[in-house]
Order: sequence, then C-alpha cells, then structure tokens
Amino acid sequence: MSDHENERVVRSYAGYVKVSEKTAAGMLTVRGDFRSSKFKTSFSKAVGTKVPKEREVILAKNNVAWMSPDELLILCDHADVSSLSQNLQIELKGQHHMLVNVSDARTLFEVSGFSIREVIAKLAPVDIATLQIGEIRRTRFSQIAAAFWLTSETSLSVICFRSVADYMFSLLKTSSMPNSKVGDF
Amino acid sequence: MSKRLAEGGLLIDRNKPIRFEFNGKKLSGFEGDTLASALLSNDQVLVGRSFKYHRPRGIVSSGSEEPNALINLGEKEKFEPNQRATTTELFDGLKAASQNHWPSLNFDIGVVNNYLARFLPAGFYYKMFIHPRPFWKYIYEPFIRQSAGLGRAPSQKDNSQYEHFYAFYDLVIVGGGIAGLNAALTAAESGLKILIMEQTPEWGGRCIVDFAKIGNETSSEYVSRLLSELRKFQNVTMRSRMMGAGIYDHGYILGYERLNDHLAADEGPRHRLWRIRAKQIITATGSIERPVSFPSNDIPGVMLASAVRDYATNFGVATGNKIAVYTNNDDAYRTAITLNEVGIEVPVIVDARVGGGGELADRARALGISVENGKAISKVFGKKRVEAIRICEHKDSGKGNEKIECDCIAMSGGWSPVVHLYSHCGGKLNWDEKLALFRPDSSAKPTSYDGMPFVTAVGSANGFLLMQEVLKEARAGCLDVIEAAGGKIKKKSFKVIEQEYENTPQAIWVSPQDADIKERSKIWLDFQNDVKVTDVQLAAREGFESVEHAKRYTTLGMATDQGKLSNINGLAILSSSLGKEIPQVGTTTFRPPYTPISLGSIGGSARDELFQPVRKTPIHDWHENNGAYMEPVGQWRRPFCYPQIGETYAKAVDREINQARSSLGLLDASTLGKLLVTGPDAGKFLDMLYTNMMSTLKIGKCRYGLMCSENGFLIDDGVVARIDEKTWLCHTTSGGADSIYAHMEEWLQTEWWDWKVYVANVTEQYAQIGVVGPNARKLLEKIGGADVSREALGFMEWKDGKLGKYDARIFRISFSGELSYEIAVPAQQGMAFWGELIEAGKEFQVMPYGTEALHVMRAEKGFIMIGDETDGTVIPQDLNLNWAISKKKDDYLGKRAQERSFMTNPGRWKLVGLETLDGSVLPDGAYATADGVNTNGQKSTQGRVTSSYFSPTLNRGIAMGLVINGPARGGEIIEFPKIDGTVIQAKITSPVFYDPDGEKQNV
Repeated sequence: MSDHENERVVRSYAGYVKVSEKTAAGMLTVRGDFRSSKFKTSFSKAVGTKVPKEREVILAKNNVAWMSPDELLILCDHADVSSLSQNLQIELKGQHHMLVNVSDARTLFEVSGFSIREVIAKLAPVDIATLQIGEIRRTRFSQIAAAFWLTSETSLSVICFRSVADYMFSLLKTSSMPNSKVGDF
Repeated sequence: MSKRLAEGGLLIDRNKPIRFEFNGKKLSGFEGDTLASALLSNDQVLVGRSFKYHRPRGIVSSGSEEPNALINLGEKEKFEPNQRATTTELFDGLKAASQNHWPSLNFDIGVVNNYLARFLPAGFYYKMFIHPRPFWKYIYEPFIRQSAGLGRAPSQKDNSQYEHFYAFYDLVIVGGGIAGLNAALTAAESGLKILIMEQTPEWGGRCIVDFAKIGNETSSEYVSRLLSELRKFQNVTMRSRMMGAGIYDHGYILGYERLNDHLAADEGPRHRLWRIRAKQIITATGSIERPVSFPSNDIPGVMLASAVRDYATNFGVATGNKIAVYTNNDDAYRTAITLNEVGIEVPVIVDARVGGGGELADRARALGISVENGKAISKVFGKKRVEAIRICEHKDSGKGNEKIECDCIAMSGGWSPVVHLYSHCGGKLNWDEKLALFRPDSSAKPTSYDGMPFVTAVGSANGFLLMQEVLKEARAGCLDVIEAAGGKIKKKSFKVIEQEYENTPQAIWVSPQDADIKERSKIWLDFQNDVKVTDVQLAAREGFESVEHAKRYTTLGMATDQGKLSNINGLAILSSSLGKEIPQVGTTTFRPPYTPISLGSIGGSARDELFQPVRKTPIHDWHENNGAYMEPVGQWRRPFCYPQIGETYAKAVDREINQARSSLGLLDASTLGKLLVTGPDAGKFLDMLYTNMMSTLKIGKCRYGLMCSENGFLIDDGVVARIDEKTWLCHTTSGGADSIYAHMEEWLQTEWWDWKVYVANVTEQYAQIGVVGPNARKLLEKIGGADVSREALGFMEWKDGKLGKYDARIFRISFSGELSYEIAVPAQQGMAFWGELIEAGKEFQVMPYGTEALHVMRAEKGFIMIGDETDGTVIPQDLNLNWAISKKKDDYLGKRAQERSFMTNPGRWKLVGLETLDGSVLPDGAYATADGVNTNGQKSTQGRVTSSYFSPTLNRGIAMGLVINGPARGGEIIEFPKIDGTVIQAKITSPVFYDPDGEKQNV
C-alpha cells in the first residue's frame, strides 16, 4: 500500500520497528462464488487482478486479499472506491454477490523494519516464521480481531476495526519498545 | 559457621564484589552468586520461619526445589514475596527480607505454636474450628486469615513490563544439562527447528560439579564443546534463564523467561511468557535429591548433599566448618570428597547401607574420611543451628550410639527424577524398586491429538542416574522423537564413557528404622508447611487412604514448593502406614507451573490501556472532552450522561430528557449494530430470522422486528430498512452486533447453505446520530440538503441524501417517542457532522444526551430493552408483542418453541407498567410478593421489576415489570418489599406512560 501517495499517516512510533497508522485507505468487501469462472472473469475485468487463492494477497496497484472462501477485500485509494465499485457492479450484474464499502469500518497499520515478524509474534498466535510474502492471516492481536500480511521481508500491513485503532496502536507500540527484542527470528 | 573459602568458586568473580541487604543488614557477595550462596558466605544460615510452627528454617538446597529460603524481595513497586533465595541471582543493591516472623527472624513470637505442636496435629483446623458453628465466620476465620500466608502482599503497583511470545518449533527440549544438550546436538543435524531452554543462567546442569572429567575432557571443556557445536546450528534456538513451566494438550508448552531479574534495573520486559506449539517435546529436566527422614532433620544446617557441594564448587562457600554426610547412596560420597578437596572437615559419612558404597566410598576412605555403614542419625543437637549429631545403628537405635560434633549435615535420601513436566499432560510413571524412584513409563507417554506420544523424558529425568547412562540415553532416547517431529537421522554408534562403579541405593523412609513416636514426631517431611512423619501416619489411621486426600488433610506438598522435596518421602510413609506398596498408593497430580511464575507474565502486556480493548465511536473523544460520564456497553464506552458543573448524574439525566422532549437532543448511536443482508433469498432468510414479515417491506421503509432463538426466547430487536430489491439493513442492539452477525452466518453456513444470501457487518462503517425532539426537523432543515419534511420522509421511512456536505442515510425512526431522525454518515465524517449539529443546534439549546436519558425516554414510552425486559427466558408474547409476530408465516426461528404448552400457559409473567402509589422509584429487580410460601418455605412471588426510573417528564417513578397474568390485572395494587424491610405498593398500569397514541413522533 505504500505506493499510494495520498495515504496520510495518522500517528507513528519508532521502536525497534516502525509503526504507522494510515488513514483514508479505500476498502471494498466483495462476496461471491469463487468457483464460478464467470465470477472470476468479471472480477478480474473490474479490478484488474485475478481472484486470489486461499490466504493470498495479490500485491498490485489495488491489493486484493482473500478473506474467506467467499469473501475478498480490495484495498485501493479512497478516491477510487466509487469507480471500482461501479465497475464491479456492472461486471457482476446478474450474479449473486455482495459489494460493500468498508473503508471507514477499518483501519490500516504499517509495520516496517528488520524484526517485524517477532513483533507480531508477541501478539498473534501465528507461526509467523513460515509466513510468505503476500500471504494473509486473519487472526487475533492480543484481544482483538485483525488480519495481516507481509508486503516484503521488512514491511507488513495490519487491518483491524476502526473502533479499536487506539488499542491496536498501543499494542504495536508496546511490542516494539526498545530493549524488548527477542532475537528469535 | 558457613563462610566463603579462600579460593574457588566456578561461577563467581571475586574481583567484582556486590553489596546487598538482608533484613536491613548490609552484606556483600560476588558477581555470580545467588542470594543463597551470598547469605551463606555471610554465615546467614537462618533465613526464615516455617508456616505453621514458626520453626527456624535454613537454606536446604541450591535450586528451584528450595522449600525454606523464601524471601520478600525488592521494595515498593518492585516488591515480590516468596522469592527463592537459591534461584535469585545477586545484583548490586538487592534488598531482601525474611518472611513469616514477628517481631524478628531471630526472635519470633509465633514460635509458641511450636510448643503447642502436640495440640496441632494434622487436621487440627478441620476438627477444632467446626464448633460452635457461628464461631467460624466471626472468630476463627478472621484469626486464621491474620496468620495465613508466608510473604507480604505488595502494597504498590508493579511497574515492570511483561510480554507474551508465540513460537512454533518441531522440537522443544526442556533442560540444558548434559542430557538436554546431547539430545539437542543429536537432533540438530536433522534440520528440525529446535528450541532448548535452561532455567538457570548456566548450561551443563549438575555435570561440572559432579564430574571432574568426561571421557578425555574436563567436564567444563566438555560442556563448552557441546555449546559451541550447538551454536553452529541455525535451526537451534538456545535460551537460558527460561523455565519450562507447563506442558498442555496438543504440544502446547509454556516457557517462562526471566530477562531482568538478575539486573539492578529493568531493561525492557522483566519476564516473557513463551507460548509455544511443539510437535515433540523432550524433558531433560534432571532429578532432585531427596532429604532423609531422621529426627530434627529441619534444623538449620541440615542440607541436601548435592547443595553442599554446589556451594563449595560453584560459589567457593563452606556451608559449615565440620560437615557430616548422611546417605543411602553412593552419590553423596562426592560431597565428602569435594569438601575434603577444598579443605573442609568431614567428621563422618553415615551410610544407611550395611554393605556401604562402591568405588566412591573407597576413595573417601582413602582420603581418611571415617565411614560408618549401616548407621543412622538419631538426634541432632542445636536449635537454630546444628551443633552435633548422635548416630546409631540404622536397624537398632539402642546400639552403636556416638555423638559427633558438626555444624552442617549433608543428607542424601536418593534422587527423584523431575517428572513434573512429563506428567502435566498425562504421562504415566513406574516405580523402580531397585533405585527407589518413580520414572516415566515409556509405554504410556503423554499423547497428542493423534493419539501419538509427544513428550519424552531423557537422562536422569527418565530415571537414569549414572552419567554414562545419561549420555547414552539422551542420544539414543531422542531418535524416535526426532522421527516423530519429522526429522531424519542416521543412527550412530556412541562412544561409551567410563564412570565409577556405584552400589545400589537402599530406600530408607524413616531412620533410624525403629524410631519411636516421640522421634517420629520430630521427623519433618515438608519443611515449609511443617508436616511430619506422625502427621501422615495419623492421616492414614483416620482413613485418608487416597494420596490426594492425605495430601490435603496434612497439607503435605501444598506449600509454594509443591512438595518437590517432600512428595516421595511422604507417600512412602503413607503407603507403609496403609500396608500397601508405593505404586499402589501412587503420586499426587503434578500440575503446572513447575515453580510459581509471576502473575505479571501471565497478564503479559494486558495492563493499563491494554488491559482490555475499549471500542470507541468516531465521536468518543468529543464525549470525553465534554465531560461525559462514560459507562461500559460491551467493549464500547458510551456517555451515561454529560453532567454540567455542580450537577449530579441524576440531575444531568433529568435535564437531558427535558431538553430532548421540549426542544432538541443529540445521541451518539454509532454503536448500534448494522448488518447488511443481500441476495435473491435475503427476504426469505429474514422472514425466518424475524418473527414478523420482512420480505414484504417496501424499499424506502423501515420496520421494527424481533429475533428469537430456536427455543423461542427473544434475543434481539431493532429496526430493519429495505435498501433495494435484494438488500435489507438490519439494526441490532449495541451489544448484539457481533453475536447476531454470527447467528446469521451460522444459519447460512450450517442449515440454509444453499440459500443465496450474503451478510456483512457494517456497524463500524458509519457514525449514527440521533437528532431528537420537536425541533429536530428544524435543525436538519437549517443544515440543508435532503428534504426531511413530513411529506418527503414519513415516520418509519429512510432516504439517502446530502445533509450539508455530509453523505447521509436518514432514518425517520424514534426510540424516544419524539420527532426523531437517526442519521448515518461514513465514520470518518462522523465527528465533523456531530460538530456541525452541535453548532447549528445552539439556537435550539441543543444538548447531547446519554444512555440513561435514552433508557428513561424509551421506558416512558413503554419500549422494551433487550437485557432489561428480557433475560433469556422471555418470549415476545410475554411482552405483549404479538403484533410483531406474523401469523401468516409457516415458520420462523422460535415459532415451534413458542407453541409449546409451557410457553402458552396463561400463568406466564407478562409485561405491565407499574406506578408506585407514593410516586417513589421501585428498586430495579424487586419482586412482588404473593400469598403463601413456595416449596423452599420462601414467600411466594407474582412478578418482578424489569426497568425502573424516575421520569422527569411525569415527575414520578415509573417502572415496567413482568407480573403473572399482568395485562388482565390493570388497576390492581401489588406489593414490593424492599431490602430495608419496608414495602412499596404499586398499581398495575399500561407500560406506555407517555403519549400513548404516538402523536409526538408522527408530526
């Protein structure tokens, strides 16, 4: 997502990794039948990327994340939400699907640095050492629901509900405090 | 006396002195000392008092099994009770204080219990404090509580940081002694991802103290070589100061890492709790030496033989000037030899075995140490310190009596494998008659989800006590484990390492063997809890045959050391008292954690702002900045009211209601659940979920609906809006958003998986604001945009449009009974929109109102609230909501249940209004009494209050309640007794107190 220039940073913290909360990310939830080739064709036509495989995030201009066997999340510029959603509506017309703008329901964080994996390992019960770049995990961060994916070896994105953004920021901040490095990865 | 030797001490650096305090006394030690070794080097043998009799207690061990040397450590926000001096590393400025005494360690009033000991046998508390009954509550319990507990409770908040860490390994090895290190090295080549942890700061376990050489190398060289070989493997993680605290189902294991406890000041988190999933676990946890049960074996100066040589070798500390050794096995001879080498006098080795020891015994004799075979210690002279012993023949205490001067006794009753971790998850044990120890049963290891073993003990933890056996077993024993973890390994032949020949130990559970009752009542099993041989024997006589019952009755093994030293000795006494074999009696259950772990580590980072997530609406900060008194609603915080300066909460609520009813109020309703339901079958789906028809709702319209569980009980309510041909927006209660969303998904995924419906929880996408009151329309018209006139937007209608510059979805719905709009805007516009409403509303004296005003206004209107009028046993019919239950539909969730005889019983409690005759407010939850008593002899009841408030609109108390056959009893007066003994009379009325015809909301 870092290539979207109009994303403002709401707040950030530099511990032994850097944590920033972004605002104005555009997010669209799409639900439909991934087994249907018609759905797949319509989706790629409208969004420009194919339907991701299980637990895959397609890293492109518009990131597309697999959320469940019938749910995808498109991350795009906030300004592009309505045009993307119009394209999808046109292409998916007549097919059973759901299309919802969830841009304001969720908050996006970016974590970057050399030890990002172990910072997440303090919060999420995930075997993060085996996580691939472009693989998404829906899990919990301490006591809240979250999803995250590696965008490179030194950066990852986290999304959570907007109402708990303060909690998420504090979690990531506390986990990346200087002197708290584990050194296991 | 105990003292520092002139030289020696593998772990200490004599060039780095460290100052510390014990009971206010300034003392010094060296870097590398434990608190225990530093105390001993200062002749501080007495370190505490026992729990029950307040007897003087000295350091017994050198490790985590220590029962006695428990101290209050640190001060203020760093204070922690019950810390083991033996595992506390010394740092500059350390402050420690002994526990469980008054006024001082040396002179303790509580020791009077010691002289009452014969009146305080096992079970004393149970027998004594049962009569007379009322005494327990008012006299006994307060008194016992006063004297309970060893350490002090901290008086200040802990200011250290803690954290959790989730980790995944193929193989986790607990224990960094030679067994663990060899197992790790064997496994490392397989490429498995391995973690090896060691609870102390040092790797190598007992090996360096116990063996001068291993093969051709010194034991130090041997351990260093293993470590450097292991460090070459990238796939091996090594952590010291990390204890395996517990093993749980499915390969879950807790590692307790102490990062800062050896430092004078915190650097980062103090403790880290590793929450690990492992495919396979090896416990190489070693073994613990057992005390010997002889009279007065609890006097300070009586120590474990292994500890005595640890202090000499590792810390250069002599635990006494003259140290007698008492043993039933060959290993303790190592202590005598070590002491002799560093120049400490060993006046005698008392060996219980008639045949005595093997090669080590010969070596001791060759050094000129006197060895007495077949002997026992029958008396210890001294009170706060050992002064001398009397020995006798083990089998006949009348013979061979001799008094021998000594100030320390190094005892060894054999070794017990540390099987705790192995046993946590169900590993079974076998009694090894020859070695007199419980060892893991290799055919009954703990099993994982697939029924396959996942924990394996190796080395002395597996009952192999000889070093050459340990080395062989550690490598051979882990081959299957490596394979089970997914690794491949070539079998190698191992070099056999030669070791001294050792004679087998001889189990001695009471010594001397013929000790009479007077002597047995001085033989301590559990040093911390004061449990003696006679207590266990008494428990057996009184019928406590199960080891678990005997444990609880006597408190054996229930102290903070969890019976690490006392357990085996205690159950051996129990089994012999019962005339059973030891394996028939068995062990008590081993439970995690292995040794106590800090509460801070369990909480991890969940403290202060991270204690619990607080959900915040987009307008949350405004509420806080404007003095709102917040209340928790689920994980949300919502304003209860907005008190002005000098105003009580109750007055604020009244003001807010009056303002909303007379002019204009604003409500942050963002927490309301919003579920979008779409698809060709969405109408059919909602008709099943709600009791009324939703499929017939016209686009642009809203309808109030009820949702029931399949048992017919009301679970949620809210307004549903039809968005388009295929789409409905369902509002749920604030607390119900997540659960109703899950409820919908469950029915869609498990029952109606072929219905074409998708659901999305869009609760947080919107800020939703209630604009309420006679001037509500004027305010929206002032802001301008969408037409919100009566004609353009009727009651129970919605529309999308702009309000000012905001993208609004405007619902004309009312929960207050006033003219009211609920306006949803994208969450990011929420705060600005709220600000504009506040600003533009000034001419109408706009005020925000909180949840309490919301509740009162809805109660004035007789609107039910999920959680007040419902409690999981209430069906819509109880609330007279039959109008919202479709009779046309074939089915809906709960329909069939609501037709059952109990649900249609005319005697059900039903919703009514309650007006107190004196205008006062009924207590919430109060019961209305009826004539007669129930089967329990309690007064019969005929109803209860479900909501009760002071209504500023009516200037009196109003309430709703559920009353037997209530709606048919209008005008009847029923009585509600209060807890102060007075009674409030209330008249049954309609629950709608305000504007029954709904004229105000429909303007």
